[in-house]
Amino acid sequence: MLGLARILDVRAGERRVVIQSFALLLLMIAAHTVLETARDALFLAKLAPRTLNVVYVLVAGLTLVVGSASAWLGLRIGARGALVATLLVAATGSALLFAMTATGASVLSLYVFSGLVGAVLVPQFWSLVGALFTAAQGRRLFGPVAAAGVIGGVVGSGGAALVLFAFPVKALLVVASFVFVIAAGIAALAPAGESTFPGIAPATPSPTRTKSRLGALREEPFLARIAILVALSTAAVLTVDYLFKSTVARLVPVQDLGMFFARYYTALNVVSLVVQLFVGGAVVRRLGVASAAAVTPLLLLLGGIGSFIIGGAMIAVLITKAIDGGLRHSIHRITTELVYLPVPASPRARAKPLIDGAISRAAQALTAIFLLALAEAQVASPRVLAAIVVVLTLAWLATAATLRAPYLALFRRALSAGALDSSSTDTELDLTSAEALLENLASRDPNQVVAVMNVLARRKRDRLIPALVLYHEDERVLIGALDIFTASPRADWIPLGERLLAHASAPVRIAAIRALATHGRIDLVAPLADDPSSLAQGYAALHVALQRPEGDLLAEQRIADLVAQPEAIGVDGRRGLLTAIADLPPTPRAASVLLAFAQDARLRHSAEDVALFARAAAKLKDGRFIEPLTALLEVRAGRAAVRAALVELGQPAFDALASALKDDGRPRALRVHLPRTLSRFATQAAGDRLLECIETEKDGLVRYKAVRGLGRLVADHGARVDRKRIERVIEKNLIEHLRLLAVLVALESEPPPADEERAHGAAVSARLLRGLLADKLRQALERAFRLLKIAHPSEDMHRANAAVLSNDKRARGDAGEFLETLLSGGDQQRVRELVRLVSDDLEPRERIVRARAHLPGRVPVSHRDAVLAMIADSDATLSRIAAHHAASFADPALSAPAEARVHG
Amino acid sequence: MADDERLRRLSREIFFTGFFRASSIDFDSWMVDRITPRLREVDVRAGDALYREGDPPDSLVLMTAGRLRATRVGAPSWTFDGRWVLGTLDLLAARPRRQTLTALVDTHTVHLDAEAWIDLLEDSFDAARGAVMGNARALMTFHDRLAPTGGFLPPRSSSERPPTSPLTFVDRLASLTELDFLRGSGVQALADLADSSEEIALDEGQLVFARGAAGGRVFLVVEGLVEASREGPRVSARFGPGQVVAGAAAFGAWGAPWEARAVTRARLLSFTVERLLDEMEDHFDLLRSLLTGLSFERERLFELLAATSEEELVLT
Repeated sequence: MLGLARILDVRAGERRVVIQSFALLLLMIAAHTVLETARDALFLAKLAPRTLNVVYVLVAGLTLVVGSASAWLGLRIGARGALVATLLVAATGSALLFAMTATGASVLSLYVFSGLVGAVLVPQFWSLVGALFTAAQGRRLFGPVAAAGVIGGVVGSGGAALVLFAFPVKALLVVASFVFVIAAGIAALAPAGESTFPGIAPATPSPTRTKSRLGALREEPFLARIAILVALSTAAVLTVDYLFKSTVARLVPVQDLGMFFARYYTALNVVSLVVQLFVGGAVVRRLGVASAAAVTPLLLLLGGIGSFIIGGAMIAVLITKAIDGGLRHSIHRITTELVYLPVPASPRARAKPLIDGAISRAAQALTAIFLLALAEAQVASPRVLAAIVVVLTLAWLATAATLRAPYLALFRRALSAGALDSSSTDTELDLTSAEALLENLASRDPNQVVAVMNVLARRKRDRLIPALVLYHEDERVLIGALDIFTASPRADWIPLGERLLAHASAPVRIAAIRALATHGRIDLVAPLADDPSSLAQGYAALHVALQRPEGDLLAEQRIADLVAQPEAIGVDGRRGLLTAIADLPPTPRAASVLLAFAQDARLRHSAEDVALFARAAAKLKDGRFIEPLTALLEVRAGRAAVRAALVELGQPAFDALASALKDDGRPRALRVHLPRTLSRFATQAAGDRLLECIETEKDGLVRYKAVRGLGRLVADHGARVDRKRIERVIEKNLIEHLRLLAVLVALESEPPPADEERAHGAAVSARLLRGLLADKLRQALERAFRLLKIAHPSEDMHRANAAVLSNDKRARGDAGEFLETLLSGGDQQRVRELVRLVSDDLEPRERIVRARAHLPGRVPVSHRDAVLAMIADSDATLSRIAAHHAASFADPALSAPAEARVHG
Repeated sequence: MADDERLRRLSREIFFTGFFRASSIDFDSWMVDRITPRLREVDVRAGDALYREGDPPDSLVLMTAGRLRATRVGAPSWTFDGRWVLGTLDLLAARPRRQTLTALVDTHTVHLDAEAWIDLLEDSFDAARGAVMGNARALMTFHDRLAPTGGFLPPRSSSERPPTSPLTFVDRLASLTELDFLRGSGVQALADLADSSEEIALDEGQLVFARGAAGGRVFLVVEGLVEASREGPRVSARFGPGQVVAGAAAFGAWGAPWEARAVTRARLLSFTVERLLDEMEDHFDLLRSLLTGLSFERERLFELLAATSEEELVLT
């Protein structure tokens, strides 16, 4: 049993529900097949095949009523209760029909009854099962569960054939009734329709019970698409069925019909079982749900074309019917049930009975009326019927082929449930908004006033800020306003700004000086050389020096002192000088002063100084500043301004940075900041360099930064990347994740005994190793998802990553299905398999067993293996701790490599 | 976009940028665009609850004025008055709301959804750094209010097994992982910090740092006991293995008023706050764990202050 569970991939905690579902479906279908065998044999013995079309219409019409009753019952007493009730009705009805004499009316009733039971039971069963499993479980388990339907068909038809050796056809009704009762008993023991698996949130529809079923189709357009799919498939298989039965009635003697159907259905079900067990699951797994949905219509289309060409010969019709019978309960059933799963529970619960019951039967009725009309008009020849099959399956195929995009969209939405749309940015201002903002300028909270001014400036409406704001009493407001005016072309504030040169607060005076100087009022700056603030003095000193027409500014004593001996005037004086250079229009004479600053290590001590230096260097556009600016990237303070300056310096800076990134002789503290700096260039060349770095860089942190940099480039500037190259890197990261998991699992194995003195040390280092491995596992996965985002920029991979790591199995299932559908290309099989391995709901050991084929080298299985693998790891931290850990054990196999690591 | 929605959006943007500007944090435009839609303005009337004990922690509450009372069954309550960010610890620790928050007067609040706040910290290091510094600075004022003991936790007993001397890399790393304020951090993030940390061995009575000389460094006790003190107000406390000398204030580089001396033979690890910030920039889990540690400490001090206050504690 365990072996079978393993082959079928039924996992711990799932077995009971799977067995119950399997047994229930098997008995339901077996009973129904027995009923159908009796029905077909009795019907064709008593009535002409053309009567079938009348029956189809009757069944369809009544299904609308019965389907609605079934849906109502499901909402009223739950999916399980409705199923039990229907099974008991089926048992009672079969028994009553057995008691009736076989007349034309009674076999007609039997046909209608059988049709109604089939129309209601199967959707009810799948509604119950759909609420029990996640999308990922459905993909794995719907196949084995659906196989029960096929086996049930084989058992039912085989059993019917056996019964017919000894009993008349009518006896089959008693057998069917008995089996329905047993099925009802099993259904009563099944879970009630809410998930019984730990970690799966129930998918119950209760809050929206009163909404209409048709409303569900409007609410979820994807359901309308499923409805079309179901209607077309129903019409197609009905036509195939009619083609088959009319051909059989034409070519098989009446007295042999019972045995013919029993044998043919047995053979058909065996074929179906083989497909189910050996082909169906593999097809769905390999192609994905959305693509697998096209398999049945495609093959039926080929069968229809064959029948059309051969002109309805028995062999062609039997093959077409065999395709229908072989796939309908396997691939077609699995894919039809799976496409429902991403639909939210409430509309799904309301729409499923409507689609699988009423719409399906309505399609059946319309098809039947059409076929009846053809028969009445004497034109329902096998070739015409085959042509209809071709048309219907073509339409079915077209609908199935367009499922992928909306199917993916539903998973996207499921993954982003609860997230707010932050994409809309409104930077326009209408009159009402502008008035409201201006009112807020009168706020007593200076921070709010500054915020309002920034809001206006951000929307390029700084002209709305009244110059009178420079009369504000709070210096934060004054500085904020002056900063905005500095960058603005307007000049109406200048007279008010001049009076601030005498403001009591030095920062306000400096802000005023800067604003005025930037607007060309140098004449107002020079007199500030005697300002009490050394910042103002430093600022003024530059302008005084510049008034001399020629010569190196560094030759000016005042300037030289400010650069080299700031203690004499105060460090603020030096900053004042830097500020003045940064505010100047590009002045080559200032280059020597700036270079002197660049050679002074004190520059690095202040974020403000670094930012001023960077702004000044950017203005000068002098290649001599590239190297000093690059070196400043090591310093956190002012890094953003340094990056902006390097971007301003253009291609030479880009080339220098790209070259530094390749040079692993440069300090790591610098190299880790190069990828994000390159990404700021926002060019395709930057994207290419970063991708190259991701593929070849040895340092994990630098690689990570390159992934983030490339991510920003793709997201913000639409840089193009070679998807295949990215997916190869994703594969590497996923394999690394699985490799580390294998090491972690092996590390948890029984360690060799440590001597007492070292036991404490071994416990400490083991704790550190577990923590470090957990970090690296998480990082490898995060990188893979960041890369997936780069390969698929419009997808929300952040949420997919969060869902994969969450404890909510339904969310994990949705994420897994979403990713597999997204990666459904023929060249994406490996990455798809790896994504499945990391997202699937598996115990770590089981995950490793399944991942073995992908893991390089020998997979560690013991504590010793794990420690040796870590000692040999390229991550220096992991290797160091592992070597320390190894030394805690009296194990020569560990101590020798540990020694080598320590001394190597 | 409808006029009303545009006005609401502007109002949220002004509140958000103005609120953080008061802490000298200015956000880039793209950050403002990203966060503004995820803010929700909530006006509460006196007596209304913003959230209740046991509720899921789905947002932060920002207020610039008003009075909100935090209560918990069986524990003293306290009142927040003025400008506060509330509910951070519940979010960081991913625990249900620990207290009920009720308005004492009509109060305008803005709620920032939890996920947006985490994104904000991850993407804006200035905001994250501001949050760390702001928390550390606030803790220092609460320690001052609890003078002369400062409300620090009593020193733990020395570890049974003194680490090797000198400390190996693994010993240093293990010591950092034992530090309360960094407990949720990954080992990877602490490994670089361990590498760059400096071991200090002291005899009884030796100075760890003189008054005014500790600024910018964090001192972690690995072995032995250290006493730290400051004046104005006078606060004195002892620190043992696994504790940071002078408490969390050290992370905000606010240690200048303190002096520390070894009470017994002691060994310490020391690293610069700048180095810690560098590591936090590269490892978000380190930043998150430090913020969580600081927030836990803040909650502990609130409880201590509330328990020792004769009247209800009002935090301004």
